[in-house]
Amino acid sequence: MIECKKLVKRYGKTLALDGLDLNVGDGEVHGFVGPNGAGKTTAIRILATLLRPTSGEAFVDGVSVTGDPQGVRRLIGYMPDFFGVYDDLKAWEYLDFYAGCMGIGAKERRRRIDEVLDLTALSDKREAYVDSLSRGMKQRLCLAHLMMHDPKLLILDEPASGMDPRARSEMREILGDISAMGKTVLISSHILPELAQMCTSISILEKGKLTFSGSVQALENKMNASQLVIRFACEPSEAQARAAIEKLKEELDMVAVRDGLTCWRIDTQENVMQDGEALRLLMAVGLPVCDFHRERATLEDVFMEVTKG
Amino acid sequence: MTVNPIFESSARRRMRSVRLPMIVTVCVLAMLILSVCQLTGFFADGMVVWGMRQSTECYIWMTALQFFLILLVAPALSAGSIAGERERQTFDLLLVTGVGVRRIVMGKMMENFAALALVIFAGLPVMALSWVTGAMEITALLETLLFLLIIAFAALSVGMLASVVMRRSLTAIIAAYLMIFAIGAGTWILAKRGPIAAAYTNDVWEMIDSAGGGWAAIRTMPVTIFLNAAVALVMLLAGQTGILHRTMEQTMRLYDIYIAAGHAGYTRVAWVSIAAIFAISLLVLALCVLILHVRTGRIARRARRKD
Repeated sequence: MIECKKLVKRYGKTLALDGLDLNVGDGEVHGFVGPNGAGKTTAIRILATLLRPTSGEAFVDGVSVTGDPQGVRRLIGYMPDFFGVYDDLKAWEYLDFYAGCMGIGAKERRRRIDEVLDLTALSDKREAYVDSLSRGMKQRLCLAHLMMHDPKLLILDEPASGMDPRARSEMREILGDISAMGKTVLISSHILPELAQMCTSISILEKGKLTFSGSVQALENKMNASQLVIRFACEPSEAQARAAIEKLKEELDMVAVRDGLTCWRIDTQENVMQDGEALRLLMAVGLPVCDFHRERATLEDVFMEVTKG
Repeated sequence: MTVNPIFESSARRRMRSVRLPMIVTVCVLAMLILSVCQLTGFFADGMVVWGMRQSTECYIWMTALQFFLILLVAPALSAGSIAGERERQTFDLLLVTGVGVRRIVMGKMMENFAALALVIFAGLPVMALSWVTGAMEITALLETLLFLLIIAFAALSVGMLASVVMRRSLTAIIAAYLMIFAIGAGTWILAKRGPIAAAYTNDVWEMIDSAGGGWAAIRTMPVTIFLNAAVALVMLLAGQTGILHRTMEQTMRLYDIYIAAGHAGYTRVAWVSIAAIFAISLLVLALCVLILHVRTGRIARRARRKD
């Protein structure tokens, strides 16, 4: 659905995008992550036909964003990171206005307005003035207007920014419904965990370059982001501890690192059989193990690691 | 044919706001107060005997006031059109709908024009007092109405240009007022002292006389004078009422041009001027569309599809 080939965008001497290559398949919910200033919004504005790249090409469903922007606009719905609304319109009038701009006929508009209001759980706000809606509702209304022309691709730039947890959860549900309709969704955010909950794949952008692209699981695996944590009921004797550490190294190739007096940590790939063997070995030495579990690195940790530059 | 959605939505929002009714009320009140003062001789030094002359003068005052109000209100109405969308952060959303900058400019222009036309039409009953009293003919009123509508269109197009160029509404409004002032003063100064100012030598006067005035006289006048809306107003009123000649002589300080206009026929000069102003306004709107195309990086290119 999306294909970017060596996209470069310069603002004077600043290089915002440095040869970005990105591929997003049909029906994916793709998270576009990166720290502030990584070039996410620039890439998104290029895909939304609002910005011309300095060089490189971008295609949406095979249509060039620079060669046929009008064609691309028929395929996409774009929600910017900051957007305004016409406060003095009612919710249905707001949708009717954008539908008119999209060239949807009056009869079709009425039907679509009811559908998208239903989709975004705003049916009861049909006659309410936009001014009276909460921030979350305004975001959903904006999402509703993107759906008016039934686009193939939704491009959402930080859609959950500034929303409370409930509003975020509602937004996630709606995006889930939209995804189930077979739409491709590109969502940008600088908060990886937020995206990981709703995305099927993730790209991480750093200083205008892609540092990772793939599934969330692949990202975690790539980082080997799992740790075995062992806690003891009391401080083990030095002899027992040394014996256990040596055995773990010799028999299982595990390097235990002491984290305080009663806790050890072992960096290792997830392997249930091997974990069981390690526990048996510790018990055999006579260590007072009271807690033995795997601790996964948070996505935030992974994000910090990938984008540390 | 479908209604321009920008026009429809903007008009709906404008009619919901209290601003337009207030503008209409203030304008009509100003006209009423001025006409009552004029008709009752409030401005006169001595005793005034009511007559046709007073009613005609009242008509002149009303037209001048409407003209002034248009120049005052138009920038405030139109300068926020595009700049306001940018400020409100709705312009990108609008562009992505694929509505096209030409339709955006036309929709905004139509809506602003409709609002200003409402102001002009609301003042029409006051202006019609001169027709009721028999001082002016209905055709003169209709001529003036058309003139005011074209001036409104021109002033709005200048406001639209400011709105397209400037990023914020306030600076766009200030820029629009400055542009209107610059056009008025600039065309005046250029007509008087500029490189294309007319040189009325004896030969020129002889040529005008031998041609019997008319278009021959118009061709001798500097082009910029036709782009001055105030001159067009004075010419129109002079042609309609026949009592402004002295005022023109005293205030215009363009004696030769004034005399040449007399040879050409004041009404004819006024309509040439109005036509020129209208044509320039259309060009200004085309320029607005062009600027927006360039600014949004949307100068049309041949469509390409990926292999």
